[in-house]
Amino acid sequence: MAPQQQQEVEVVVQQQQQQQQGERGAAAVSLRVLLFAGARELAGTAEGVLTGVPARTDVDHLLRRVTEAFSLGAMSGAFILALNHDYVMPGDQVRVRDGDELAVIPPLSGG
Amino acid sequence: MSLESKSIFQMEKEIADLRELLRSKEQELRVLKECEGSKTHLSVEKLSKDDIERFSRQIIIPSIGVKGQQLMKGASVLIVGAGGLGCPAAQYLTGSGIGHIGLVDYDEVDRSNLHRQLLHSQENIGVSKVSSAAEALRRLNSNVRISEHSLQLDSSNALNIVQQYDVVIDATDNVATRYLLNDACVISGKPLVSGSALRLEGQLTVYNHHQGPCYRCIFPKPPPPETVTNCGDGGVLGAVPGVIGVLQALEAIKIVLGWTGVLSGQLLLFSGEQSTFRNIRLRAKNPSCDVCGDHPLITKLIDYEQFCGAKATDKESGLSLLKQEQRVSPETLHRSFICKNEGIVIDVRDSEEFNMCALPNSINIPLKKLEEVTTIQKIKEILDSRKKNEENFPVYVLCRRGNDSQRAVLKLEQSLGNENVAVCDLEGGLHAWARAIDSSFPIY
Ligand SMILES: [Zn+2]
Repeated sequence: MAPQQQQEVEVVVQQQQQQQQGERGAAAVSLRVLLFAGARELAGTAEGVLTGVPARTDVDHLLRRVTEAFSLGAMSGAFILALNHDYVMPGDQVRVRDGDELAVIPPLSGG
Repeated sequence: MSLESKSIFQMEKEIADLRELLRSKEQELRVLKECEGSKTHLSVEKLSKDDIERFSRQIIIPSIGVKGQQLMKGASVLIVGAGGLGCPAAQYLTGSGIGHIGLVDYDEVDRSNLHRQLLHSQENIGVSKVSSAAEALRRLNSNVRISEHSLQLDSSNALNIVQQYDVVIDATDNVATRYLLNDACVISGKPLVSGSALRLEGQLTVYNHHQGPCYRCIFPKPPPPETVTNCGDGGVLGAVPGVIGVLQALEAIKIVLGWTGVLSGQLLLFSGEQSTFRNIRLRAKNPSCDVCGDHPLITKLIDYEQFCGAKATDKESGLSLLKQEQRVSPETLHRSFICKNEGIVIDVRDSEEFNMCALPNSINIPLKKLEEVTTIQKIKEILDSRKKNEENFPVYVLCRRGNDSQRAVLKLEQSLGNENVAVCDLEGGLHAWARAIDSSFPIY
C-alpha cells in the first residue's frame, strides 16, 4: 500500500475510534468494479478489481482510485458511482466490504 | 441505359409518385374525419365499440379496467426521436390506445436505419422519419391522433411542443438534445421517460416525476464530446434499442395510469450481452440542481450545443484540422494511387469496418493503434520496402468521413517526421470516394 493511503486510513481510524470500538477500521478490502458505457471503452474492460481500499472511506477517494486504475481521466466528473446498486454521492462517507460491487456509470446517449 | 433498365426506372418513379399521391389523399381524409369526429363526439374518453373489442385484453387486467383505458384514451405522449428507441415506443403506445401521440424528428429515413427502426419500410428511404412513422402507426390504429413535428427540436420550439403533451419520451441520439429536453420538461412540469442504447447496452430511467431527480441532478456536467460514442460510430444491435424503447412505452403508460411502480429515482442498466437488468437506486432530487433545484440558475432554455460542446445530431460535422495542401480529393487519390500506383494508403477505421469494405491494397491501421511504437515501426518497415530514395513519398490516410483521417495525419506527421514522406488525408473520406469515383462502394 502506498504511504499516502496508509495515512488516510489512519486518519479515518482515529476519527471513527470512539463510535466504532473494537472494529478494525484499518483493514483494506478489494472491490469488484463494473464499468459501463463509455467507461468500459476508456478502460478497455467491463470488469476489474480495486485493491487496497480502506474499509471506511469517502466517495471522493473511490472516484480518485477508479479514475486512476481504469484510465477514466478523460471523463472525470461525467460519471456516477454506485456501490452495491446504490448511488453514492461525492462527499459521502461509505463503508465497504471485501467483494462489494462498485459500478462506474457514465450516461449513454445513443438511440 | 438499356431499354429494360429505362422502363424499370420509369416504373419506379411512377410508383413513387403514386405513393406521394396516396399520402396526400390520406392526409385529406384525416382532416375530413377529424372535422366529422369533433361534431359527433360526446366525450373523448368514452370507449367505443371498436375500443372495447380492440383493447379487451388489457381492459380485463384488474389494475387497468375501463377507467385505465379511458385514461389512456385521454392521454397524450410526445416521442422525441423516431429512430431505434422511438419506433418501438411509438408502436406499443399506439397499440395500447394512447389517444394522442406526437412525433419529433428532423431526419429522413436512411438505409442504415432499417435494421432497427422497424416502423420505416425500405420504400420510405429518403422520406421524413416523422411522416414515415406516422403512416405506419396510422395503419396500426387509425383512431389514434398522430401529430407530426418534422423539425429539429431546439431552444426556440421545445417548450411550445412539450407543453402540449402529458408525458415526454426521450428517444434521441445525442447529448445536447437530452439536456434540452430535460430542461424543457422541468420548466413545463412534464415527466421525462429517458432511454438510450449503444452496441449491446441500454439505459432507462424516468426524470422529473413526482419530485424525483432530473437528468441534471444525476449528471450535472455533460460528458466531454470525445468520450461520447454514437450509434453511427459505435454500432448498435437492433434488438437492444428495441428492448429499451418498449420499456419506455411501458413507463409512459404507467405514468398515465398513475401507478406507483414508475422507474423514477432509479436507473435500469440493460446488458444485451449477459441478458441482465441492473437496477441502480439513484440519489434524490438535488436541492442545488441548476434547473430543478430550490434556486435554479436555468429558468429558460439555453444554447445546448454550446453547453455540451457538441452538435444536437448524431452526425459528426466536418472537422478542419489540416491545411489544404495536406488534403487530397478522391480524383487525385484515384489518379495517383490507383492509376499510377504511387504511395501507400493507410485506412484508419476499425478492423470491423475495414473488413466490410475497403480500397484495394490499402493498409488497415486503426486510429487508436497509431500511438503504439510497434505500429509506427511497422509503417516504417513498409515505407522502407516501398519508397526507395523517393522524395516526398505519398502516404495517403483515409477513414469513413474524413475526420479521423485528419487526426491521424497530425499523429503520423510527428512520428514519421524524418521519413521524407508527404502525409495527406482523403478529404471527405470513403463517403466522398463513393460519390466521386466508385458508386458501387457502400456508403454506410
Ligand atoms: Zn435536477
